[in-house]
Amino acid sequence: MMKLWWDQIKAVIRLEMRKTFFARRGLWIYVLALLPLLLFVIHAVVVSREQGQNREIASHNERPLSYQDLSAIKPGMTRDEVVARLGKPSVRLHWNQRKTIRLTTALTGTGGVGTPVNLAPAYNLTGIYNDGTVDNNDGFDGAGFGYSSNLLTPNRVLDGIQFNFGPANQPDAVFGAGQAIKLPAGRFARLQMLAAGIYGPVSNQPITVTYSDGSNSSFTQGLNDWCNCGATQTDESGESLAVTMPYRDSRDGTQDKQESYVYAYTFTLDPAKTVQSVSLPDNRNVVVLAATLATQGQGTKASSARQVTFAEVPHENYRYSDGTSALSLDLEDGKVRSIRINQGYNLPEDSIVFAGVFQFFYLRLAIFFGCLGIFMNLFRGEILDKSLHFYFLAPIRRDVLMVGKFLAGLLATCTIFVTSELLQILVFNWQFGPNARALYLYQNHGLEQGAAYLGVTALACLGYGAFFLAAGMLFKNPILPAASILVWEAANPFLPALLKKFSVIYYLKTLCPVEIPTPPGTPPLLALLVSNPDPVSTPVAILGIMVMALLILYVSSFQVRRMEINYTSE
Amino acid sequence: MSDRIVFEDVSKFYGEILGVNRVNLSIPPGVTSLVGPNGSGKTTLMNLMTGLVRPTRGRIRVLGIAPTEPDKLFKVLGYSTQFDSFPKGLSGFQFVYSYLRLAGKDAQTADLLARRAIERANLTEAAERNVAGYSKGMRQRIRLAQALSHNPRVLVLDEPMNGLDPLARAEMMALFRSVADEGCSVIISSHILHEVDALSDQVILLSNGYVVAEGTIHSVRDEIREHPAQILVRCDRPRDLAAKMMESEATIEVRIHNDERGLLIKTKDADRFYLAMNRIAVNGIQIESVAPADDDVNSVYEYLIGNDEAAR
Repeated sequence: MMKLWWDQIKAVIRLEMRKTFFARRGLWIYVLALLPLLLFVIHAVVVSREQGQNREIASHNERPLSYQDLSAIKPGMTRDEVVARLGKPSVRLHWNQRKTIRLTTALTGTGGVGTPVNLAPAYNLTGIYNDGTVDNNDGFDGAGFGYSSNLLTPNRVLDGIQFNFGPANQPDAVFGAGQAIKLPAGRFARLQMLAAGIYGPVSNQPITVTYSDGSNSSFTQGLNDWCNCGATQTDESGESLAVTMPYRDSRDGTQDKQESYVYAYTFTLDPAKTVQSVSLPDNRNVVVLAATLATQGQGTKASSARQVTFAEVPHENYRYSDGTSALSLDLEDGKVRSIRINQGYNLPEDSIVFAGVFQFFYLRLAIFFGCLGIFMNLFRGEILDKSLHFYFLAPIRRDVLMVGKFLAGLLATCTIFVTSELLQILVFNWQFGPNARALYLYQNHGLEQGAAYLGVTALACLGYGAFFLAAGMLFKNPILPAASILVWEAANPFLPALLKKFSVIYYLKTLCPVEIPTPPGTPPLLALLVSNPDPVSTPVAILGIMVMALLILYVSSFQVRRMEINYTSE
Repeated sequence: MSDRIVFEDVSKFYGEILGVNRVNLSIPPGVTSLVGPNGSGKTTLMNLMTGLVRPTRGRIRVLGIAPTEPDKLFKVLGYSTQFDSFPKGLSGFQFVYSYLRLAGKDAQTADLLARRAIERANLTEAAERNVAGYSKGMRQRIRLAQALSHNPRVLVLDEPMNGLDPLARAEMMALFRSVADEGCSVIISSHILHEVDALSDQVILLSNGYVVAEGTIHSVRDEIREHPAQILVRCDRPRDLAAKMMESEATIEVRIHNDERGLLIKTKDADRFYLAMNRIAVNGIQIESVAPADDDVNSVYEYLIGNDEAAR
């Protein structure tokens, strides 16, 4: 009897395989299966091309370079320092670029006029460092950086108005906390401030000057960022550049080669009233360094028009390679401004990318929908084609027929998806050089990982196949069960422990050989999808899928025995 | 093992739609025709006996086998359905061959049986062509070949002559007869009555899901006593014979046949009519033949169900 059943199953498989592999409506399954392969092929071709270029560059090195040599280059290093370390570059590009130069408009020293406001009682941060001194406070920006006292100097005169800064390495600036700062009593035409924004531009900040009679003048001011460290400079009305400095100080005593700026702001007062206080916005990113009151005849109003000029600055691009990784340096005016290192091989990163493509595209989408297309059509497709009676009129047990169809589906999906996965693994390895490949395969568990990927693919076909075979017998419209199973699988991390076990992805996640890290700051929901907080052992996972598939097939065997041929109702 | 197909109080409803209702049948070997208009329940009855649909109520046995056991049932039964769809990409030979492989036959046996069945269905020349390119008649034949291929003891044929030309119909009818003569039970459904009339050993008349009569055509006809029998008499002097026949109390109506060489006589008592005929023949009128004119399926069906149904 068992031989008869096996012969019948083989006959079913032969018929189904012909239908599955050559059906036009199944072409999209091949596209799904081959899409990641195509991506990896493109990646491998690009990497291979880059490697060729890197080898070419390395062949012209004055001396052999290592990755450590390349990574020793830092921003701010001079051309000579770079050449001393790496030799003359084999590839060198150079050009001149017109650059906007910000001019310092405030002069150093004293001699200006006006009534400086004493901010000392309000100082609440240390924003100015003496060069080379170590400080352990949060600095001007809250991240440990501050102005260089050596560059800023204790006093500045801007448009004839005197500004005095606080002492370096001590509280010497005021960040906005909604506080009122007392002003020297008197009647003035203008309040002028030297200040800056942090993480700017900081827009629409309210500043209020209160008079002794209780009335006030309100202003709204935007402040640009205090340094040239990635922030976009915008045109803020009422703001002019007062001081430009070529670097800033770090609290560890080093200089950071980022330009830093102090801006000037002018607020027009009611000269008929006596000032009492000025209120700052409640915003840590607004910081005031100095303030001075001026009467009508004192100084001149600041102008933003004179802050910009242009100059031709020499630029260079140097390229080095150790034969594998590439270093690209942009130099501006003889100094390294930016560095890009393109690592030829980054095994940990590449294997995580491979794992990500496998887990989030191949497993959850490609195999899922591929199994849907094949297994659901084993019965449903023949009902739609009105040809299922061909099987039902043969002297074969319905459950034996079902097993035959399931094995045919499994063979088809495994052939398509395991083959594609195997090719992906081969292409993934092809991008490495022989040494890196050997290192990955034999010392970094590459072989085990490859075998695990193939096994997980086959188990995914088994698990999803059983689900969709049953769904194809139970439902006329495949969209509803497919969507339900997709949602069920996606919601698995959020399900109670018992329900989790009735999911294919629960077991497959455990079996995936490379865990995808969740960087700090990943949203908790996304982190739950990526991580596997409740893993099971490998044997339990494999058995779990098998038992679940068998259970579904067992239940389906009752359904197939009850099935009727009634094409008119389909 | 029983040699009959038995329906015991079988009903089948498709939701609220009646397929067949309270069917009790015991179909003996031979050629049995299921006759009825479209929608009368012929196909449902066939699908029930082959397990393609399950009865809502009742019990069915085919030679003692339940239709829920396809592995046993289809060893002894072949079914040529009305469904005009085939597994894609198969040639006629592959269609029959695959069926035999599904039945568990080895490759050599399946090949032999498939070729023999295709030859019997007179389709050998087209056997290697794809079924998708077949004409309707050829598709009918290949289905028949499949149903016959494993030498079943019961052959169920749903409208087997649909799409066949007159010559092919004659061939098929001869084939069914020969299969029946080999000891196979043949169940044929048709709504073309004269086809099955000449072929059938017994008929089952269906209307609106009910069995309205069953048995040999003659016995069914005899059961309908309220309808006068029609008898066609061929003779040399039809007008003289008509005058004589009108004298008999058993005669209801006499009409001269269109060709003026016979009479169509309606009588409510066939036995008395035949006695009267004997006397008349003695009186010098040359009687060439006497034959029932309504002892066929069509007439019986017309009597039982009415002109409207029969005309469909």
